[in-house]
Amino acid sequence: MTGDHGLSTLFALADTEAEPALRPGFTEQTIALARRSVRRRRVGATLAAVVAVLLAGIAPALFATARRGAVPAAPAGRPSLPDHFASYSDVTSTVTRQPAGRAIVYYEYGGNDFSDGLQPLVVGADRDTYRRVDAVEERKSMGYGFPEVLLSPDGTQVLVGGTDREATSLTLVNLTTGGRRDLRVDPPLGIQLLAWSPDGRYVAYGDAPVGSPNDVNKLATTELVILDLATGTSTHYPQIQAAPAIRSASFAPDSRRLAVQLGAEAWIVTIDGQRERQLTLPAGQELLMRYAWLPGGTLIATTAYSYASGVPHPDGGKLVFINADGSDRQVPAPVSVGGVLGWISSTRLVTFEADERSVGGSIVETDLGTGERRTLSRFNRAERCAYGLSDCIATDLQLATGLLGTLDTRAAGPPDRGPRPIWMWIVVGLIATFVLGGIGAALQLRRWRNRRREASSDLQRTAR
Amino acid sequence: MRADDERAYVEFVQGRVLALRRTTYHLCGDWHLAEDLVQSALLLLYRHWPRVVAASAPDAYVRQIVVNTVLEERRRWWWRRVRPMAEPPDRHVGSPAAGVEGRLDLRTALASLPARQRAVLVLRYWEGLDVAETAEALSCTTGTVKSQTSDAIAALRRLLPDYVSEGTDV
Repeated sequence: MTGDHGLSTLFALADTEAEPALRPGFTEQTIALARRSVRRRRVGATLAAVVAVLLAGIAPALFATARRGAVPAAPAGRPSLPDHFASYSDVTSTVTRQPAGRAIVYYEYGGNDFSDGLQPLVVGADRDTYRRVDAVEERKSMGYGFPEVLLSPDGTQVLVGGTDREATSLTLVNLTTGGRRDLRVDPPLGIQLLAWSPDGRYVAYGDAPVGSPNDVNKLATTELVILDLATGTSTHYPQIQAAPAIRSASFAPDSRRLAVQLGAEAWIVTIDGQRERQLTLPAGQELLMRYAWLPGGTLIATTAYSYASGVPHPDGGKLVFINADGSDRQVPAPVSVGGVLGWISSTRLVTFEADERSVGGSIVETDLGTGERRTLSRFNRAERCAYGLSDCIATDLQLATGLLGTLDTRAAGPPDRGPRPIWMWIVVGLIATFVLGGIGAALQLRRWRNRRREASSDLQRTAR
Repeated sequence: MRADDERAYVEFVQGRVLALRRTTYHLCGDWHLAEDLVQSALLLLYRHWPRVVAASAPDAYVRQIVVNTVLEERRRWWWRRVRPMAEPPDRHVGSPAAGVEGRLDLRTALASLPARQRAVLVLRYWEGLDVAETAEALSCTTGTVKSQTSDAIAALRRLLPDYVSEGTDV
């Protein structure tokens, strides 16, 4: 054989072999396998799509975490308080994940009847940012709760102290960047935070003996310590000590002097520990905690302190004033107010007025001269926390006192709680997956049944 | 897949499965394997059926899938270790004769060719495709088909000198 014809002939001859029959049910099996294959691919594609949707949902949260520190800009204008506080929420993010910006208020809020129901929160001074201060949560201890906390006068920092254990450091949290700075405490001691100087440089604290500060029987002697935030060093003043504890201290407006409660006296001391004078406190009165020194610098406020006296003071919770220079000059008459949060001027102060059940309450500005009162902000007294099982309470409320001079009230908008927690996206994703998967499976099942019925009819028709 | 499409697919499979298996057998040389490979190709076809029907070229598409499936199978490691062949091919495979002897000679000679050369010969001389159709089935250029055909015939000429003459066209 020759040429192309020969090759074709050769192939034609080779093709005379008898073909074996197809194995029984080959066609039906192939079609069934094909359907199954497509079904599997669809399920795989659906799962991949769900995963992609989940990732797309989580990505913003992760991205927000990654750009920590970028959110708060410079103060936009006059600081302000929202006219009411946002309700309790489990999805409020942390300062570390996304900072709040300078804060106007620090407070602890949550269920009254549950030891772990409170959240340590800051609220932005420029917009309605709500963030949990996670550095406070991390130092929480069983049986004591949150550590002592001070909000800086300019609202940009929070200082976190210790609890019932000896602390080896204080933590300074920057609310505008989310960054932290640990300030070493040597030797380790029980921290009793007292006051932050108006210029923001110094913090006064006592080296409280280990144990609950409220349990006076356990306390021995406490000495004054001044922390210089510019250098990070703490200076102890053993000559300024009280037994069992320094109950209160307050900086003068010039930040160079302090009034320190030592027993029944208030000592006026300089920032380097020199005693200027001793003032005898009115009977049953103690220095007003943190905010004793009025902005004018001439008056010091005292208040009845039930822990110290053990019996109610005849004047109730009235503020009683004394001259800071120890003179007999006439002072304003005692006034009845709520818990003092700071001074706007020598005649105007801001207080927290709890409602009759100590559930909810208002932040009120009072003019001591005219008696005029103005509500700046309020908590929702009807709110329930802990999934409706408990009243909500606000405790340890602190304002950024350096911002009070220009403080305004703003209409509260929707709270900015920061990036949603990842667990929430996972829960939402799982629910969405179950719902969409269920719907998809039901639809697919119906399609499969219809198709199988039609294909079965086709095969039967063809066989006939 | 819509019911109409699925019905068309079923009809196509029922009408073409034997021819497809025969082509595949020519490519791989084993009926059982050919059946498995055709099934794999048909599964793939099912996935793309609406698109193939829209292009009005199911035969060409299926042929391409079959050829690629066979070539892909041959690249797998187990194929190289266990070749589905009754006996190893001889270098010289006998004298000119027709019938069973010639058929076996050609099969053993084809089995010794590289996979793509073998596919070119099968498609062109067994399936009767022209150069362009063969190129489409093999996903290559017509020039490649021509050169592969030339090489394959040269190889056959060496293996079957009595069957394939010098004058064979490409």
